[in-house]
Order: sequence, then structure tokens, then C-alpha cells
Amino acid sequence: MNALDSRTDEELMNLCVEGSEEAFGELVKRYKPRIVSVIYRYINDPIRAQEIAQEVFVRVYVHREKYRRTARFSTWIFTIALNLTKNEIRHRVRHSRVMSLDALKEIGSSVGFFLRDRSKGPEEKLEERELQEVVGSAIAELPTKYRDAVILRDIEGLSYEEVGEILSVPGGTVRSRINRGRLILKKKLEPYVS
Amino acid sequence: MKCSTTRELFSTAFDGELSVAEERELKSHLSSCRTCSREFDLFSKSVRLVSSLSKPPVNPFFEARLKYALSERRAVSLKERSYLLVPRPAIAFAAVAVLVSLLLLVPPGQVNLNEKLITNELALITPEIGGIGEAPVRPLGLMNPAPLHGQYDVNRVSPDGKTLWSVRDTRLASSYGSSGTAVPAWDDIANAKDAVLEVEFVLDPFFLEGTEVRRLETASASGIEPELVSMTF
Repeated sequence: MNALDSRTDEELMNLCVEGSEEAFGELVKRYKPRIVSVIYRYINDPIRAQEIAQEVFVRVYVHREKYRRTARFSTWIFTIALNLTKNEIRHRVRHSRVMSLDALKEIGSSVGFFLRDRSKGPEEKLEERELQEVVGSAIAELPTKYRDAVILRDIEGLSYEEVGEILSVPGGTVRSRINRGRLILKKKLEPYVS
Repeated sequence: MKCSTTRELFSTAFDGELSVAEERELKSHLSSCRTCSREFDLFSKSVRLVSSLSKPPVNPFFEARLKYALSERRAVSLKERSYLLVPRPAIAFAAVAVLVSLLLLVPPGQVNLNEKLITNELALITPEIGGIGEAPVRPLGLMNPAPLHGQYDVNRVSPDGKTLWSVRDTRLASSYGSSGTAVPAWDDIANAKDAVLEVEFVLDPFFLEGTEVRRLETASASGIEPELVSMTF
């Protein structure tokens, strides 16, 4: 355990603004799995997800002096990640000349690839893979505003307040979007959970 | 409490964020309504299923690559420092993406691998700051053909039968003509018959206040014919 372990994200970012590379390294350590994960959920490309995540951290470092000391670090970095990811999706849709819904369905078809492997047998693994595909497709087919809210809340585990700050919507809207998104998912996943 | 009202509370209840009064009412309704009780059970199970998606593995060289990317960015920013010190209106910070796409028609076998890919065919024209004078012309996208990170997309064939290569997100963080992302496997592209290289520059709006992108009437040193196909602001 080093001296930075006990610091909050915001304290680390403030140290980073003052020029501490160790503090930046600690933030990278804390956030890289979450940032890679959230990007991956949208683009379903693990290699590109890592590249975009790297760019997220580059931007955090390069623009560190723009960080508002009163703001939550998590919402700042997730906002950067979401913006870069959406740029990537726009780029892909434009260049692949496919309809965005199709692209998203394609993306969603294996979003669940990384469901936890609990060392099951071949049959169970097959079932689990099918289930992953179903969950991935269900998430991908959500309307964008619900999908953003559900990914940030249920996959990344952010609080309602953090989700609201990242999506720039008030608390009531966040609750409503998460609830609507979850109800849609429940309807689609009902045959698999009942 | 009505069934419809109960369902509006499912999410907040699942997250344990109901008020004491709401929680009491919900519990009371669920204990007397089997349909809502079952619905809440399915709701909770489906949320847990979605939450069970675990995080993808992170490349063990993530930090090393990040360190390299940052060192490259620092080298560029040193050149930009004097430019950054010039005061600018707040609009400079507006999040405006500026994309410039360029098609390069590559004559097969005529590319000298030791030369830069394109020269001054496209340029950033920045307004002279603090005085009268000709607008400085910054060459856009001096690209180094040395292989780097495998940034190019797999080639595909365009509707008119040309081989199409796409280089994504060629970044040009500097308006001083610094190299953008290099084009790897340049020999493959150069040797492809009727190859078309599609390059998209992603320009940082921070550096582009008052700047325009223009095609210049100069000959390309590399013999490649570039065509500006689109600009998005």
C-alpha cells in the first residue's frame, strides 16, 4: 500500500494538476478497467476500446488544468469517455454506411462476451454464451437515452447523481430513464429469468 | 397504492432509495398483490443479470502505451506553447469537432517510401494575431510513412471497384505542421492497383479559433493526388 492509496480521486486529481505523475498513475490504475469496460459496452471491440481509453487518459492529463476542483472526478472522466465513444460510433456508422440501429444490434450481439466465467461445463457455457448474447442485444436495442443511463448505473455501478452529471440531466430524469430502461430490459429478459 | 404507481417505484426500490413511507406502502401492496410481487421479482432478477456482465480484460501494456502516447503529446505541446499563450476568446474552448476528410489517389508503384506522404496540399490558414500581415499558412498533415500502431482499417473495395484504405482519426494536434499519425504498411497501399487512401484528420478545436482549412494550388511532392472530400465543423 502506498501513500496515494488512501487519497480520494479528487485529491489525486488536484495533485495531478500540480504536476504529480504518481497521482496520475494511481488514477489510471483505479479507472482503466471501468473506462475500458464502458467503452467496450458501446463498440464491442476490445482492442479499439483500449485505444479510446488510452486517449481518454491522455486528455485527462493534457487538460488537467481545466479540471474544476469542486467537480467529481468520476463524472469528468466518464463524460470524456462517453464523448469519445460516441465520436467513434458516429465515425463507424458514417464509414460503414450501415444504419445506426443495425450497427448497434451488431454491437450488442456479443456485448455480453465477458460475462463472468464461473468454470462451468461445456453445456452450461453454451447456455451462458447464448444468455450473454440475449442480454447484449437487449441493451443494444434500448433507446439511446435509456441505454446510457442503464450502462452507467447497472454495469458501471455509478450513483444516480453521477449518472445525472455525466448525462447533464436532472435527478428526476435520471431515475425515470433508469426505470424505463430497466422495465424494457425486464420485458425482453423475462423468459430467461422466470 | 395502484399497480401502475407501484411499478414506477420498482427501480428506486431495487436501489434501496425509497423514503420510509414509500417503502412501507410498496411492501404493503406487494404483500397483497401477487402480480406486482412477481413482476418485482422478475424486475430484480433482470437487473442483476445485466449487472453480472463483468469487465473486459485490460491489456497488460496499457500503462506503457499510455506513457508513450503522453510523451509524444508532450513533444508536440512544447512546440505549441508559444501559440497557446496568445489570448483567445472563450469560443476557442467550445466543443466543436472539426473533421477533414481527404482522399488520396495513389498511383501504383510510384511512391518513394523515404518521402513524406503529402505536403502542403491542404493547409490551415490562421489569422495573423496582433498585427497586419499575411495569414500564416501551416501545412496540414505531413504524414510520416514509418509504420507505427496499425491504425489503418482493413482495405475494402469501393462500389466503383477501387481498393479503399481508410486511416482513422489521424490526429493533428498542432497547427505547426507536425506529423499526424503515421500511415503504416505504406508499401501495401502503394502497390495496390488504383488504391484510394481515405484519411480523416481530427483537428483539435482548441487550436482552431478563426482558422480555415483550404486546399492550396501547389504540386504534391509525392506525386499523389489529394482531394478534399468533406469538412465537418
